[in-house]
Order: sequence, then C-alpha cells, then structure tokens
Amino acid sequence: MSTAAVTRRTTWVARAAVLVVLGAWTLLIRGPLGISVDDSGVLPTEVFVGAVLFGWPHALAAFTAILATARAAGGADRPARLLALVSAGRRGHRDEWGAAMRAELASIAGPQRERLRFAVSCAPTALRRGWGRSPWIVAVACGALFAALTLATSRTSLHGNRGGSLFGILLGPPQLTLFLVGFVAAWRASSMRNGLEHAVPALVAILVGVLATALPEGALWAREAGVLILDGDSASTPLTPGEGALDALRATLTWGLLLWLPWPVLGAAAGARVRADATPVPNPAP
Amino acid sequence: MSSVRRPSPQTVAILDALAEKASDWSHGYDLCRSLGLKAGTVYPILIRLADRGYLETAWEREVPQGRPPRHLYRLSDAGAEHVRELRRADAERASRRLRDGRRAIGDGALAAARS
Repeated sequence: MSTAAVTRRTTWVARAAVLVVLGAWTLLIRGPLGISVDDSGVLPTEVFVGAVLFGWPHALAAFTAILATARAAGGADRPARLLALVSAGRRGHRDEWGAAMRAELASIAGPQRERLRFAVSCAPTALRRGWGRSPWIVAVACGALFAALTLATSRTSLHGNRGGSLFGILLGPPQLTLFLVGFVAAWRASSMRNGLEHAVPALVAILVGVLATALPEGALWAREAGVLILDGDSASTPLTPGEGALDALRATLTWGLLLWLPWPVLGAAAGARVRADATPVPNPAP
Repeated sequence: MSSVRRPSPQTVAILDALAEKASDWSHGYDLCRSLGLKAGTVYPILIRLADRGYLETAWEREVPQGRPPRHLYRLSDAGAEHVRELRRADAERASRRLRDGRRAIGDGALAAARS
C-alpha cells in the first residue's frame, strides 16, 4: 500500500497540536497538579518551562501521530481515506483483506453515501484483522512484571527506610518499557501500526498490574506506617487504609497513566522510522 | 444425531449464495448487495470461512485501468462438502421435528379418545 504525501496544511495542524498540548500542560500544572503561580512565587515562564519538561513527549507524540495518520490515509475521497487509514501498516498476507476491501470500494461507482456506508461498515473488520497472539503475550508479561516490581519495591521500602516506593515505579520504567515494546514491534514488522498494537495493550496491562498491587500496598502503608506509598509523606491527620489506597490510585492515574500515554506512539513511530531508514530503496529498473 | 453445528443465518446465506454460483467467482460487494447484508457482516464471515478452508480466494486477473484488482471468492471442495453437510443436517432436523410433531399429535389424540 502506498503512503500519502503530507501536505503543508497537515504540517501546520501538527504544529498547532503541539502548541495545544503544551498549553494544556501549562493549565494542568497551574491547576490540577497544584502549582499556584501567585502563592508560590513561581513565574509564568517557569510554569511554561515545566509544561515543556513534562509535556514534550505528549507534544511530540501528537505531532508524530498526526503526520502518521495523514501519511496512512491516502485516497481519492473520504471513504477511500478512511479504509486506507484503518487498514494501514499491514504486511504480507495480513494486508490481503484490507486490500480486498479497498479494491472493492474502488469498484463502487455509486453515490458517495454508498461508498461511505461500505467503508464505515468495513472499518471495524479492517482495524481488527490480523491481531495475533503476541500483543496479548507481551501485555500479560508487562502487567505481571510491573505488578511484581511494585510489590517488591513496596515491601523493600516498607521494611527499610519507608521513604515511599511508588514514584520510582511510576516515573521511568513504564515509559522505557512502552517505548521499547513499541519500538521493537514496529521495527520487526516495519510498521508503526504493529508497534501500537503491541504497546497499547502493554500500557493497559502495566496500569492494571501497578494498580492491582499499589492499591492494597497503599492501604498497607497507611495501616502499618501511617504514610503514603507514593513518597513516604504523612498527612496532617492519621491516614486510614482507604485514604492510602485512594492516594495510590490518584498517583498512578496522574503521575503514571498521564505520563505513560505518549510512549507507545513514540516507540512505534521511532521503530518504524529506523527500519524504514535502514531498508535500502531498490534501484529503479534501467 | 447430527454433529454439524448450525452457523449463523448470515453465514448460511453467504454459503448458499456461493454454492449457487458453484465454480464461478463472487465479489464481496456483490454478495453484500444480493443478500442485503452490510460489508461489516459479510467480510468477517468471508475471512472466517477462508481461514477454515471453506473458501478459495483469488485476485482478478483482467483489471480495467484506473482501479485495483478485486478479490474473488468461491467455495472450495471442503466448503462445498460443508454446505452439503449443513443441508443434510437441516433435512434431518426437519424430519425429526416432523416426527416429533406427529407423535405429539398422536399422543394428544389418544389421550383425548381415552378421556
């Protein structure tokens, strides 16, 4: 399947998305993440620097995803672009059915509505087609690994300095894992889609694995040490196990999930790109 | 007792349509139109049938300029045998139902005569 050229308009949309993402991070840092510019004396420029520091992976992922979507969605009209997008990135026999649907759409000379109805109806099948077992195996392995890692660091820290353990799990290891899973899968199949098909289930599995361990461990930390599992801080009032678990949930969703989100996209995009750069372009016939 | 599992009515309709055309090839969109089914119903069934070896697939050889070759489908030998089995199982089921119905009517009439 050929890829569509990226137009100047798409590039501008991608650039605008970067600004929107960084703007959203600025608001997030000032608001829900709780840095008050007025009270703490933090300058607006410092908030923006913080937004760039935290938000650059999201901005880059948004930019990459928009360009990749535009490249994949080549076609004469909207139905053709839709089918091209949902069946993009398949290789070998896995692309056969996507190609069959695209060819069938090309043969429909009827009204645009009929073509769109056909494309929309085919889209879920084209999207699902070809998921093998490997994404699920990788996801289960990642989920189990992070559940075990969360439990091990929690118990080590609880019986050690009680300095909190969840931050160390949430920041770094999942991002690296998701990037690597996406990168390797995309590189092996020479397809960004394959990278996403592996890294997105891995993200969900890591979230489930961390939550399944961090919530009961958060309650245990509150009960046994009276501090939060995230960083070992204590609250002004005695902690209940429920509050300990709730804090672990909140921390995992904000410092975890929110920061992990762009890494499947970045890994998959990088893997596909590196493979494409390493694959020699065949010489045209003389 | 037949061990043939009854497929969905949509699968049966597609199998029947392909069986009718015997060795002629069919297109996905034409199947959708002739059976009044959506592409989102037809393609998963075609994919499943092909995976089970009931369908032969091929690409169009003579293609008009300006469009890609279409994908073609027809029943394989295994598919034709599967259709025959389904029809046999259908016939058995129907005759069993008829037999059970007759027996029920007979029992009812006997009970009515006795009372």
